[in-house]
Amino acid sequence: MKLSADPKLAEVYIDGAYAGTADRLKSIWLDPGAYELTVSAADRESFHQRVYVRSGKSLKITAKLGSDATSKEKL
Amino acid sequence: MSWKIGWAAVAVCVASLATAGPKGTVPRSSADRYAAHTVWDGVGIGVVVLSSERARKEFVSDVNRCCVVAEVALYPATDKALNVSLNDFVLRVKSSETSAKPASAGVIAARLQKKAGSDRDITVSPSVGVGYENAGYDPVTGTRGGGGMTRSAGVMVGIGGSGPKPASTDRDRAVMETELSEKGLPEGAAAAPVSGYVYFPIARKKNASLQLEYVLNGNKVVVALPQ
Repeated sequence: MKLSADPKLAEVYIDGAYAGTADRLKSIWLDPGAYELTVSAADRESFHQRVYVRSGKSLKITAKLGSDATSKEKL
Repeated sequence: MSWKIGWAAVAVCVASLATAGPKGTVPRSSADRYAAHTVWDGVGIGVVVLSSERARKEFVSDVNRCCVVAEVALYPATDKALNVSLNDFVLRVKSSETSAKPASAGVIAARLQKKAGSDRDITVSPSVGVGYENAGYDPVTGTRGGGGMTRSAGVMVGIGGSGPKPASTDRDRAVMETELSEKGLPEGAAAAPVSGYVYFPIARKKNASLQLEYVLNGNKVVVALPQ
Protein backbone atom coordinates (compact mmCIF):
# COMPACT_ATOMS: atom_id res chain seq x y z
CA MET A 1 0.00 0.00 0.00
CA LYS A 2 1.41 3.37 -1.00
CA LEU A 3 0.27 6.09 1.34
CA SER A 4 0.64 9.81 1.09
CA ALA A 5 -0.87 12.08 3.68
CA ASP A 6 -1.25 15.73 4.41
CA PRO A 7 0.09 16.63 6.93
CA LYS A 8 3.12 14.41 6.47
CA LEU A 9 3.58 13.92 10.20
CA ALA A 10 0.09 12.49 10.63
CA GLU A 11 -0.12 9.32 12.68
CA VAL A 12 -1.12 6.15 10.90
CA TYR A 13 -3.09 3.36 12.56
CA ILE A 14 -3.88 -0.01 10.98
CA ASP A 15 -6.69 -1.92 12.67
CA GLY A 16 -6.30 0.42 15.61
CA ALA A 17 -2.60 -0.29 16.08
CA TYR A 18 -0.11 2.54 15.71
CA ALA A 19 2.06 2.00 12.64
CA GLY A 20 4.10 5.21 12.55
CA THR A 21 3.96 8.61 10.96
CA ALA A 22 2.93 9.02 7.36
CA ASP A 23 6.26 10.42 6.22
CA ARG A 24 7.97 7.19 7.29
CA LEU A 25 5.29 4.92 5.84
CA LYS A 26 5.26 5.75 2.17
CA SER A 27 5.13 2.05 1.31
CA ILE A 28 3.44 -0.39 3.65
CA TRP A 29 3.62 -4.11 3.03
CA LEU A 30 0.54 -5.94 4.27
CA ASP A 31 -0.64 -9.51 4.05
CA PRO A 32 -3.80 -10.02 1.99
CA GLY A 33 -6.82 -9.04 4.05
CA ALA A 34 -9.20 -6.26 5.00
CA TYR A 35 -7.88 -3.49 7.23
CA GLU A 36 -9.16 -0.34 8.89
CA LEU A 37 -6.82 2.49 8.04
CA THR A 38 -6.90 5.61 10.20
CA VAL A 39 -4.76 8.67 9.67
CA SER A 40 -4.98 11.38 12.31
CA ALA A 41 -3.25 14.55 13.37
CA ALA A 42 -3.86 17.11 16.07
CA ASP A 43 -6.51 19.70 15.24
CA ARG A 44 -7.37 17.93 12.01
CA GLU A 45 -10.25 15.72 11.04
CA SER A 46 -9.25 12.06 11.06
CA PHE A 47 -9.24 10.05 7.87
CA HIS A 48 -10.79 6.59 7.98
CA GLN A 49 -10.87 4.06 5.20
CA ARG A 50 -11.43 0.34 4.94
CA VAL A 51 -8.81 -1.09 2.63
CA TYR A 52 -8.72 -4.47 0.93
CA VAL A 53 -5.29 -5.85 0.18
CA ARG A 54 -4.68 -8.54 -2.43
CA SER A 55 -1.43 -10.24 -3.24
CA GLY A 56 0.46 -8.77 -6.16
CA LYS A 57 -1.60 -5.58 -6.28
CA SER A 58 -0.60 -2.19 -4.98
CA LEU A 59 -3.05 0.23 -3.50
CA LYS A 60 -2.49 3.97 -3.61
CA ILE A 61 -4.17 6.04 -0.94
CA THR A 62 -4.05 9.78 -0.50
CA ALA A 63 -5.28 11.03 2.84
CA LYS A 64 -5.88 14.73 3.15
CA LEU A 65 -6.87 15.61 6.65
CA GLY A 66 -9.02 18.55 7.42
CA SER A 67 -12.56 19.79 7.09
CA ASP A 68 -12.39 19.06 3.38
CA ALA A 69 -11.09 15.50 3.82
CA THR A 70 -10.89 13.76 0.53
CA SER A 71 -9.56 10.42 -0.47
CA LYS A 72 -8.53 8.80 -3.66
CA GLU A 73 -8.03 5.12 -4.07
CA LYS A 74 -6.44 3.71 -7.16
CA LEU A 75 -5.29 0.26 -8.13
CA MET B 1 -24.32 -20.83 36.14
CA SER B 2 -26.96 -19.75 33.67
CA TRP B 3 -26.09 -16.08 34.09
CA LYS B 4 -22.51 -16.91 33.14
CA ILE B 5 -23.72 -18.55 29.93
CA GLY B 6 -25.89 -15.52 29.28
CA TRP B 7 -22.99 -13.11 29.69
CA ALA B 8 -20.81 -15.31 27.48
CA ALA B 9 -23.46 -15.21 24.75
CA VAL B 10 -23.68 -11.41 25.03
CA ALA B 11 -19.88 -11.15 24.86
CA VAL B 12 -19.80 -13.32 21.71
CA CYS B 13 -22.49 -11.18 20.10
CA VAL B 14 -20.66 -7.94 20.95
CA ALA B 15 -17.39 -9.37 19.66
CA SER B 16 -18.94 -10.49 16.39
CA LEU B 17 -20.54 -7.07 15.92
CA ALA B 18 -17.26 -5.35 16.68
CA THR B 19 -15.34 -7.40 14.13
CA ALA B 20 -18.01 -7.23 11.42
CA GLY B 21 -17.20 -4.76 8.67
CA PRO B 22 -19.52 -2.21 7.17
CA LYS B 23 -22.43 -3.40 5.13
CA GLY B 24 -23.58 -1.85 1.88
CA THR B 25 -23.13 1.72 0.75
CA VAL B 26 -24.55 4.97 2.06
CA PRO B 27 -27.98 5.58 0.53
CA ARG B 28 -28.43 8.88 -1.21
CA SER B 29 -31.04 11.28 0.13
CA SER B 30 -33.80 9.91 -2.10
CA ALA B 31 -34.39 7.35 -4.84
CA ASP B 32 -34.52 10.03 -7.53
CA ARG B 33 -30.85 10.77 -6.89
CA TYR B 34 -30.04 7.59 -8.83
CA ALA B 35 -29.83 7.36 -12.62
CA ALA B 36 -32.89 5.09 -12.70
CA HIS B 37 -35.61 5.23 -10.10
CA THR B 38 -39.23 4.49 -9.42
CA VAL B 39 -41.71 4.31 -6.57
CA TRP B 40 -44.03 1.36 -6.10
CA ASP B 41 -46.40 0.76 -3.21
CA GLY B 42 -44.67 3.51 -1.26
CA VAL B 43 -41.26 1.89 -1.71
CA GLY B 44 -38.64 3.94 -3.53
CA ILE B 45 -36.15 2.11 -5.74
CA GLY B 46 -33.02 3.73 -7.08
CA VAL B 47 -30.56 1.98 -9.36
CA VAL B 48 -27.36 2.82 -11.17
CA VAL B 49 -25.26 0.40 -13.19
CA LEU B 50 -21.58 0.94 -12.57
CA SER B 51 -19.49 1.74 -15.60
CA SER B 52 -16.31 -0.30 -16.03
CA GLU B 53 -14.31 2.71 -14.95
CA ARG B 54 -16.31 3.29 -11.79
CA ALA B 55 -16.27 -0.42 -10.91
CA ARG B 56 -12.50 -0.37 -11.21
CA LYS B 57 -12.31 2.59 -8.84
CA GLU B 58 -14.82 1.27 -6.32
CA PHE B 59 -13.47 -2.26 -6.04
CA VAL B 60 -10.09 -3.80 -5.45
CA SER B 61 -11.57 -7.02 -6.87
CA ASP B 62 -11.70 -7.16 -10.67
CA VAL B 63 -15.49 -7.30 -10.86
CA ASN B 64 -15.45 -6.22 -14.49
CA ARG B 65 -14.09 -9.65 -15.36
CA CYS B 66 -17.17 -11.49 -14.21
CA CYS B 67 -20.23 -9.40 -13.89
CA VAL B 68 -22.33 -6.32 -14.20
CA VAL B 69 -22.51 -4.43 -10.92
CA ALA B 70 -25.52 -2.33 -9.98
CA GLU B 71 -25.85 -0.09 -6.97
CA VAL B 72 -29.36 -0.56 -5.66
CA ALA B 73 -31.06 1.59 -3.03
CA LEU B 74 -34.37 0.78 -1.42
CA TYR B 75 -36.46 3.28 0.55
CA PRO B 76 -39.12 1.46 2.61
CA ALA B 77 -42.60 2.89 2.97
CA THR B 78 -43.26 4.82 6.15
CA ASP B 79 -43.92 2.57 9.14
CA LYS B 80 -43.57 -0.56 7.03
CA ALA B 81 -40.35 -2.56 7.09
CA LEU B 82 -39.21 -4.08 3.85
CA ASN B 83 -37.77 -7.56 3.56
CA VAL B 84 -34.78 -7.25 1.26
CA SER B 85 -33.74 -10.39 -0.60
CA LEU B 86 -31.36 -10.73 -3.52
CA ASN B 87 -33.63 -13.43 -4.90
CA ASP B 88 -36.16 -10.74 -5.76
CA PHE B 89 -33.88 -9.14 -8.37
CA VAL B 90 -33.29 -10.03 -12.00
CA LEU B 91 -31.19 -8.13 -14.52
CA ARG B 92 -32.44 -8.56 -18.06
CA VAL B 93 -30.99 -7.52 -21.39
CA LYS B 94 -33.86 -5.98 -23.32
CA SER B 95 -34.86 -7.59 -26.59
CA SER B 96 -32.98 -10.75 -25.76
CA GLU B 97 -33.37 -13.89 -23.71
CA THR B 98 -30.40 -13.00 -21.53
CA SER B 99 -31.10 -12.46 -17.87
CA ALA B 100 -29.36 -13.16 -14.59
CA LYS B 101 -30.14 -13.34 -10.91
CA PRO B 102 -27.61 -11.88 -8.48
CA ALA B 103 -24.74 -14.06 -7.39
CA SER B 104 -23.44 -14.12 -3.85
CA ALA B 105 -20.11 -12.61 -2.85
CA GLY B 106 -18.70 -16.09 -2.32
CA VAL B 107 -19.63 -17.26 -5.81
CA ILE B 108 -18.24 -14.12 -7.47
CA ALA B 109 -15.00 -14.31 -5.48
CA ALA B 110 -14.53 -17.97 -6.42
CA ARG B 111 -15.17 -17.13 -10.06
CA LEU B 112 -12.63 -14.30 -10.00
CA GLN B 113 -10.07 -16.53 -8.32
CA LYS B 114 -10.58 -19.20 -10.96
CA LYS B 115 -10.20 -16.67 -13.77
CA ALA B 116 -7.07 -15.21 -12.22
CA GLY B 117 -5.60 -18.67 -11.77
CA SER B 118 -6.23 -19.60 -15.39
CA ASP B 119 -4.51 -16.47 -16.70
CA ARG B 120 -1.21 -17.22 -18.34
CA ASP B 121 1.61 -14.76 -18.18
CA ILE B 122 2.95 -14.68 -21.71
CA THR B 123 5.92 -12.47 -22.41
CA VAL B 124 7.26 -11.87 -25.86
CA SER B 125 10.69 -10.34 -26.25
CA PRO B 126 12.96 -9.92 -29.22
CA SER B 127 16.21 -11.80 -29.10
CA VAL B 128 19.41 -11.34 -31.01
CA GLY B 129 22.20 -13.89 -31.06
CA VAL B 130 25.80 -13.34 -32.06
CA GLY B 131 28.23 -16.22 -32.51
CA TYR B 132 31.42 -17.22 -34.20
CA GLU B 133 31.43 -19.90 -36.87
CA ASN B 134 34.50 -22.08 -36.99
CA ALA B 135 36.37 -22.38 -40.21
CA GLY B 136 35.11 -25.16 -42.44
CA TYR B 137 36.93 -27.32 -45.01
CA ASP B 138 36.32 -26.37 -48.63
CA PRO B 139 36.15 -29.62 -50.66
CA VAL B 140 36.74 -27.80 -53.96
CA THR B 141 39.88 -25.89 -53.11
CA GLY B 142 41.01 -28.18 -50.32
CA THR B 143 41.62 -25.27 -48.03
CA ARG B 144 40.08 -24.12 -44.78
CA GLY B 145 37.80 -21.15 -44.79
CA GLY B 146 38.31 -18.22 -42.53
CA GLY B 147 35.24 -18.65 -40.39
CA GLY B 148 33.49 -15.55 -39.16
CA MET B 149 30.79 -13.94 -37.12
CA THR B 150 27.19 -15.07 -37.40
CA ARG B 151 24.11 -13.21 -36.30
CA SER B 152 20.57 -14.40 -35.72
CA ALA B 153 17.45 -12.60 -34.69
CA GLY B 154 14.19 -13.98 -33.37
CA VAL B 155 11.51 -13.71 -30.75
CA MET B 156 11.48 -15.38 -27.35
CA VAL B 157 8.14 -16.38 -25.87
CA GLY B 158 7.98 -17.07 -22.17
CA ILE B 159 4.97 -18.65 -20.50
CA GLY B 160 4.31 -18.61 -16.83
CA GLY B 161 6.27 -17.06 -14.06
CA SER B 162 7.32 -17.64 -10.52
CA GLY B 163 4.94 -17.07 -7.64
CA PRO B 164 1.17 -16.90 -7.52
CA LYS B 165 -0.72 -14.54 -9.78
CA PRO B 166 -2.71 -11.68 -8.24
CA ALA B 167 -6.13 -12.79 -6.96
CA SER B 168 -5.36 -16.46 -7.48
CA THR B 169 -4.67 -17.57 -3.93
CA ASP B 170 -7.21 -18.69 -1.34
CA ARG B 171 -6.38 -15.66 0.79
CA ASP B 172 -7.09 -13.39 -2.15
CA ARG B 173 -10.42 -15.13 -2.64
CA ALA B 174 -11.23 -14.52 1.01
CA VAL B 175 -10.32 -10.82 0.67
CA MET B 176 -12.46 -10.47 -2.44
CA GLU B 177 -15.37 -12.22 -0.75
CA THR B 178 -15.04 -9.88 2.24
CA GLU B 179 -14.99 -6.81 0.03
CA LEU B 180 -17.91 -7.90 -2.14
CA SER B 181 -19.92 -8.95 0.90
CA GLU B 182 -19.26 -5.77 2.86
CA LYS B 183 -20.16 -3.56 -0.09
CA GLY B 184 -23.14 -5.68 -1.10
CA LEU B 185 -26.79 -4.79 -0.59
CA PRO B 186 -27.72 -5.86 2.95
CA GLU B 187 -30.42 -8.51 3.05
CA GLY B 188 -33.12 -8.86 5.69
CA ALA B 189 -35.69 -6.57 7.25
CA ALA B 190 -35.11 -2.88 6.56
CA ALA B 191 -37.08 -0.10 8.21
CA ALA B 192 -34.73 2.61 6.96
CA PRO B 193 -33.20 3.19 3.49
CA VAL B 194 -30.56 0.67 2.50
CA SER B 195 -28.23 0.51 -0.45
CA GLY B 196 -25.39 -1.58 -1.73
CA TYR B 197 -23.98 -3.32 -4.73
CA VAL B 198 -25.65 -6.26 -6.45
CA TYR B 199 -23.52 -8.52 -8.65
CA PHE B 200 -25.06 -10.02 -11.78
CA PRO B 201 -22.95 -12.71 -13.47
CA ILE B 202 -23.64 -11.54 -16.98
CA ALA B 203 -21.31 -10.39 -19.73
CA ARG B 204 -21.09 -6.65 -20.14
CA LYS B 205 -22.04 -5.62 -23.67
CA LYS B 206 -21.72 -2.22 -25.20
CA ASN B 207 -24.96 -0.47 -26.12
CA ALA B 208 -27.05 -3.22 -24.54
CA SER B 209 -30.24 -1.94 -22.96
CA LEU B 210 -30.68 -3.32 -19.47
CA GLN B 211 -33.60 -3.41 -17.12
CA LEU B 212 -33.82 -4.38 -13.49
CA GLU B 213 -36.80 -6.40 -12.37
CA TYR B 214 -37.71 -6.43 -8.71
CA VAL B 215 -40.45 -8.53 -7.15
CA LEU B 216 -42.13 -6.35 -4.54
CA ASN B 217 -45.13 -7.66 -2.60
CA GLY B 218 -45.80 -10.16 -5.36
CA ASN B 219 -45.65 -7.58 -8.14
CA LYS B 220 -42.90 -7.29 -10.71
CA VAL B 221 -41.49 -3.77 -10.81
CA VAL B 222 -39.40 -2.98 -13.88
CA VAL B 223 -36.79 -0.25 -13.84
CA ALA B 224 -35.25 0.62 -17.21
CA LEU B 225 -31.58 1.38 -16.84
CA PRO B 226 -30.00 4.12 -18.93
CA GLN B 227 -26.92 3.12 -20.94
